[in-house]
Order: sequence, then C-alpha cells, then structure tokens
Amino acid sequence: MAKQITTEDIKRIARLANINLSPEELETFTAQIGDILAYVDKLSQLDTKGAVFKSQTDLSNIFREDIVEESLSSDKATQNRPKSSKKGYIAIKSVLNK
Amino acid sequence: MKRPFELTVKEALELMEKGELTAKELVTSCLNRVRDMEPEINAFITICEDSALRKASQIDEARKKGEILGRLAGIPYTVKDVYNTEGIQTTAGSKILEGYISPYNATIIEKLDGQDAILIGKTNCDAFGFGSSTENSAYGVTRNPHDTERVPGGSSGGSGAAVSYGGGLFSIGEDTGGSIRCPASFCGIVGLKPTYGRVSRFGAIAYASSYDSVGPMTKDVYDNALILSVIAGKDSKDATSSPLPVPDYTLEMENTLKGKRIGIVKEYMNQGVDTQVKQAIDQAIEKFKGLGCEIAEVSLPYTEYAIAAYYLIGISEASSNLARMDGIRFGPISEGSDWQERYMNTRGENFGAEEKRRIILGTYALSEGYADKYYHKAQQVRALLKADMVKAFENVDILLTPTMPILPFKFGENSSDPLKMWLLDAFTVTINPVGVPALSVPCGKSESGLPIGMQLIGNHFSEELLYQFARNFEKA
Repeated sequence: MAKQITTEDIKRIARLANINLSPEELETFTAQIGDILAYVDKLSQLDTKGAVFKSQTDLSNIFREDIVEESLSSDKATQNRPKSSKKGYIAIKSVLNK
Repeated sequence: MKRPFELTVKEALELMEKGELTAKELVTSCLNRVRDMEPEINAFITICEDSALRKASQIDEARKKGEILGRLAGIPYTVKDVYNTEGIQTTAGSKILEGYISPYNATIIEKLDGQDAILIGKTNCDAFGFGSSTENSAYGVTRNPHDTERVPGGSSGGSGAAVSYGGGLFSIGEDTGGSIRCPASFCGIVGLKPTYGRVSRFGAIAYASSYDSVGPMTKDVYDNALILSVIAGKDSKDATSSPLPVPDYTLEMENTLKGKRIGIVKEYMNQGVDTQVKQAIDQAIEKFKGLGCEIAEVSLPYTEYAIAAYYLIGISEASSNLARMDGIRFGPISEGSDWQERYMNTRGENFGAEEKRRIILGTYALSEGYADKYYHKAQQVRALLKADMVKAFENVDILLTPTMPILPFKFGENSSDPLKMWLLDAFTVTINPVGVPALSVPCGKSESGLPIGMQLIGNHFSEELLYQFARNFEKA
C-alpha cells in the first residue's frame, strides 16, 4: 500500500505546479487524490521487467530539410498579449529585484 | 422530404451538385436550427454566422460560374473548441483561455477550408478534454438532444450534440481517451479515433501529446470515411504524423465481410456492463454473424491495469502541456505581489477543479522520487498493453466492444466522485496508449430511446477495414 497523502503533500505539489488552492480545495483534493493514488497503486503488483515502450506506430527520427519559410509576424504572434504591452512586445512585471 | 440540416454530407453534396440546394440555403438552415436548439442544448461556445454566410454565397457564386470546387463545397461543419482558428476565439472549454484569438489555423482547418467546407461554429467540451460528460466546461454544460436531463458524453460533447441535432453536418472532435467515441455513442452518431499520427495534430491544443487523436464525428459511416479522406495525411508541422499514403476511405467500404473474424474481449464483458447495452452488443454480434463473420473470444490479460496506466501517463503529459497557461502571452492574468504569486493566482482562479486535480496529480507522478513508481511504471505497462493488443490481431481482424459500459447518465450522477467517472472510460481509454484506431457506431437504443454505441477496434492504420465493417452493419 502506498503511504497516505497529506494536505501538506498536496500543498507542496500545488506550489510546484504553480496553482493556488483554497483551503476547501486543498481538503477535497487531498481526499480525492488519495483515492486515485490508492487505485493506481495496483500497477506496482505487476511484473514489468524488461518491458520498454518505444512508440505507438514505430515511427522514429523524423528529419526534414531546414528550409526557411514564412512564419507568423511578431505582431500576429503577440496579438493576445496583455493590454499594457506595446505592439510586438510582451510586457511582464519585473522578475529580478533591483 | 428532409429539411437541409437533417441531410448527411453525401446527400447535401448531391443536391447541391444537381442545383436543388444552395450552400446559402444549407448554411442558413443549420444556423436557424442552432438558434432554435441552443437555448436548451448549449453545444456551441462560438457561432460564426457572418463568415459562414459570406463563404456560402461565394461558393454559390463560384458554382454558378462553373468553377471547380472542393470535395466538401458548401458543407457546414463545426470543430471542438480546442482547434486554433485564425481570427476566432479558441478556449479549450476553459476560462484560462477566455478571449484568446488564434493567430493561425490548425492543419485540419486549412484542409477543410481547402475543400470549401464552411465552419459555422466551435463546440463546447470538458476543459482541455478532461472529462466524459462535458460537465467540466467553464461555458456551461451541454445537454443531450436525445434526453436533455442527460449528458451528451465527453469531452467532445458539444460536437456530439451539434451533429446529432443538425447544427452543422459534421464535426471534428479530439480523442485522448474516448473523447470522440463517448459522445458519439451517447448522441447516436458515428465517431472515429484514428490511428495515432493518421491526422495532423498541428494547431490542436494539447492534452496528452502521445495520445491526442483528431477525428471526424458524423451522421453515418460514409460521411465519416469521406471526412477522414480529406483530413488525414503527413504534415511537416507535426513530426508524429504518418507518411503512409491516404486512401479514399469511401471506396472499399461496401466489400463483403464474409470470412472476416471479430474478436470479443472476454475481460471487457465482465466489467459492469449495463444489461441493455449488453443486449444491443449481443444483437450486433448476431447481425455480424448474419453478414458472414466468424466470432472468436479474445483475451487481453492486462486490461485490468489499462485505466491506471492510461491516466498516469495522460495526467503527466497534461501537467507538462498546461504549464504554458500562465497568463503572460494569452488569456486573463491575475494580480499578485511577485511573478510566482501572479502565476499561482492566474492558474488558481482560471483553471476549473478537474484541471487543477489532473495537473497536481500529473506533477506528483513526475516529481522526484515518484516518477519511477508512477510515470515510468505506467509506460512499461503501456508496452504490455500494446503487445497484448497487437497479438490479438494475429487471430482476428477487429475487436468489438461496447463503446461505453452504461447508457447516457444524468447530470451530477458521477461528477462528485472523479475516480468513479474515470472508471466509466474502461473500454475507450485502453485504445489511446496503444495508438490503434477505434470507431464508435450506433447499434441500438435503450427501452427509453437512449442511443447505444459499439466500438470497433482495428490494428494500426486499419481505418479502411473498420469502415468496411461499420458500413456493412449500418446497411444490413
């Protein structure tokens, strides 16, 4: 049996996943995720020695010529930017403190 | 006489060819139908009325002048709202992409556009494809046109409902673990999850990149084969798309089934299948016997582990794919004192419960100390599942199962227990890790008139064979 997952575990993982959870969500998710992990634990009973998954349809190493083609303009590529950003740029809050 | 929105693609093309129907009449008929049905059904997130009518007039004009038109000229269709459509909002059913206007078209949109099909709208779905009921959409639930107290299935539930009521003559769904087949079954239409790589994924918002399959949802088998013939093929923008040539899938479907072998999966029929579903499947088996098929029992011993392996890999890939939903380049952004707080608030406020649950689980399954136990173990099980399935096809041509073990259920019936909801996908999720194609075809109705679907599973790239079985069945 896997060890029981705690609210502290979920809090830590949610921070890794950059998702803010409300106290209610934290509680519900801890119980639900606990159930799911108990269910998927059945895989540990299975002997999978030597089994290696390669690909679905045996395609491998797809190469193509490196030819320059027309691509999206910077205007278009950034058209969903926050309203505060200048055309062609994406402005964010400062990451490094001065 | 059928009203235009009731026509199949084939019927509509023939009428337009003969000059008895115009593209404008057909598109108008579908848009009117949408207007009538939407207050109750809610299959659409976006309706593209103006552009659709404009394009219809252009096609009618071109036809009048005798210009050469595409293979789907004037046919109105919808796409699940996970496909990028230039200049049109694409939400993936989530609030985190609200207002996102695609700067480019998905490859399938380019292909359908190239054959003069007309996009009339984008359909509702469980956010990012996370669900089997369309109850996980930020844009409200979609109701099943056969019984509005029940779910249409999911995650492509809006596509299923729209095709079923005539809001467009076909739709393009997306199937990561049954998301085309489940709503096809619950809404009484035909839905194909093609072989992995048969149709380009370029421009589809990713759920689990090694499962995601793009496929048609249609009123009948012929239409399905016709649409696949148009959208399949190698795409330089999707390295996983297959270079195998694309046949015209409509050509071989009438061939006889005499001597073909159908496998019934022993393990599947034990898994809590509803008696009415079982009855419909038994009748389908008898019908296939009548068409000259032999029936054999097949064993897939690793079936019991399929759901667990499917979800572990699926949520791991999803947690990684959805990391890009950060509010910086697109979508709404929340306040916060530093970058991480903003990031966490944006995702906390705009992802729904199922999205958060899957991302957190996936992050856990990939995290240090757990990746071997969960993600890598599941990939090994995947190898066993694939070997199981490929071996089964040494003795039979296709496998036949129910698409869903139960009838369309009522809203809220399964949504409080996510694990219970996941287990409903037992027959559909097994297919995606293996990458084979599977087709859901209507095979009867319950006593109260709810649709029942059967699933035909073939070996890799055997879509032609699946259509042959399905078409013979449909005609018989």
